[in-house]
Amino acid sequence: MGTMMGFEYIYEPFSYAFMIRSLIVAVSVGLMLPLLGSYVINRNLGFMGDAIAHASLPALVFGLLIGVNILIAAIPAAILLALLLGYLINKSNIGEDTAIGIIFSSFFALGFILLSIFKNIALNVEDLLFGQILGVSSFDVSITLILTTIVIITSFILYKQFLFISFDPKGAKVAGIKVNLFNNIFLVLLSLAIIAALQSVGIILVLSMLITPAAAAKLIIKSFPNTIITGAIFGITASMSGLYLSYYLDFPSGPSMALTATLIFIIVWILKRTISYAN
Amino acid sequence: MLQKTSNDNCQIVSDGCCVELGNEVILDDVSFSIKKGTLVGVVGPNGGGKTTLFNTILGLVSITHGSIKIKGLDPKQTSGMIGYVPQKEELNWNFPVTAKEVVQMGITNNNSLRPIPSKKDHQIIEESLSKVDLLDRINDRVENMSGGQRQRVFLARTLAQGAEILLLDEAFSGVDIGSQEKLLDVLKKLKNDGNTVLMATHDLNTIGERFDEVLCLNRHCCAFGDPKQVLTKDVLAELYGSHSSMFENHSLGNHGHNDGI
Repeated sequence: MGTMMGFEYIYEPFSYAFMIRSLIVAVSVGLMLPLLGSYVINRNLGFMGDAIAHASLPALVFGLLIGVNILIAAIPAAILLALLLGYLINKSNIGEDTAIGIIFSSFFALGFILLSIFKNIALNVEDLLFGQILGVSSFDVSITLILTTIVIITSFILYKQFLFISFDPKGAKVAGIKVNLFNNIFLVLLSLAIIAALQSVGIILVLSMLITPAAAAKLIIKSFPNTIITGAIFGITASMSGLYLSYYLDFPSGPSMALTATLIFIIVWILKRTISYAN
Repeated sequence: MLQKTSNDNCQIVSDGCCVELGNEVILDDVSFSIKKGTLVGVVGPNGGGKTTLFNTILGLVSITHGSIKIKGLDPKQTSGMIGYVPQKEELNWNFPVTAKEVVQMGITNNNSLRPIPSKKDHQIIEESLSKVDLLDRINDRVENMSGGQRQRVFLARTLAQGAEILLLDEAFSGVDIGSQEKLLDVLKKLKNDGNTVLMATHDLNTIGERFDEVLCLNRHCCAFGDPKQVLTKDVLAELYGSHSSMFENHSLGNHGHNDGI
């Protein structure tokens, strides 16, 4: 590496097949999470996103136990979980945060109990918690691409409905929009995006990719569609940086992505302050 | 009780409508009938049931006894027929929507799968905004508009929706007198085009000049009809209890003081 010049640092890693796979996953995750994140930060759904990631742990363990790919095991579990959370929020009278908090912590705890019972499971807990993007298989890449396609196309064609139910849920209901249906579709997309990101960002830090790039975009962009696009650009920048830091410095990918996303947020914030002072 | 009517000309007919939320009776035996092309002010104390009545007409709350018919239909079957102008607090202002995006919501239904408006959509959005005199603000963010302008953008949304019955909840709250008059001009124009308008308001001073009819609500219907006739001392006492003397003769410019000042 010592003899490499400038740009070679950027493209050299991609002479390896595993790096191409990691690149595809990084771009998918960097695009998909901030896209939904723009809704999440404006609707205060961050805790919900965190809960979906944590509560998927028992499903991942169960998947390994029965010998299927962990993504395959986690997808139906996360969808059910998202719908259960959506139902509880609508119906329970114990409060949204409380309902999410109880489910979040108990499922996460159950995951660790299962891990301690079945000690023979081939699972690196650290990778699951903090992400290991360099270890994704071709099968993981295929599933990630399918999930990304579903999330992007659905959120694109249902943009008007998502905006309406987010901005004015009562007005949407009065206008005949099936608010609960579209809320549930949104929660399912959110759970799919989170599951797709688990291997690269990890359970603990999914929230950073969901929230930080979208929040940075919101600082400087006024129009909502442009916030989504800018958030996705910041997200891809953060996830690619995470990939390089993992490759060259052997950092875990999740924390690398999370800190790069935070760095982007800080730079954007300082630039905004500087420009507004100058004016 | 007001007479029952099945007159085709009546857009909203409430017949002994009762609504209970939990164990509490919010609306008790409320009856009235509103003709097409009428501007109706809904008055009453806080907690008197104005918002509940609106939610019942909108089909969001179930009726315990009696009925409300909207053009002969049950409120839950009228999806999209009624336009609703929300209070500012009901909206999530974290979303930086423009006037165009708000009006576009009026033509959004469950099957709208095009994120970008078509040429026809654009035409409807522009026509609706021009009816409320805000076409020049089409790309402005609604959050930055004055209270009155914001209400007019939401009125444009109900027009794009094709609604004939318009409900406005406390539309004058936080709106200065000049903007109130501008909003009222638009409402009168819409009324003359055949729309029926119900607005919840606390402003008794000008109700006689502004509205064709007034619906006085304090859990039950205290009075309904021409505001100049029905807002009597007894009705005001029924609405506002011991403080009703403050409102006596309001429409004559007398502010209720004993010496007539």
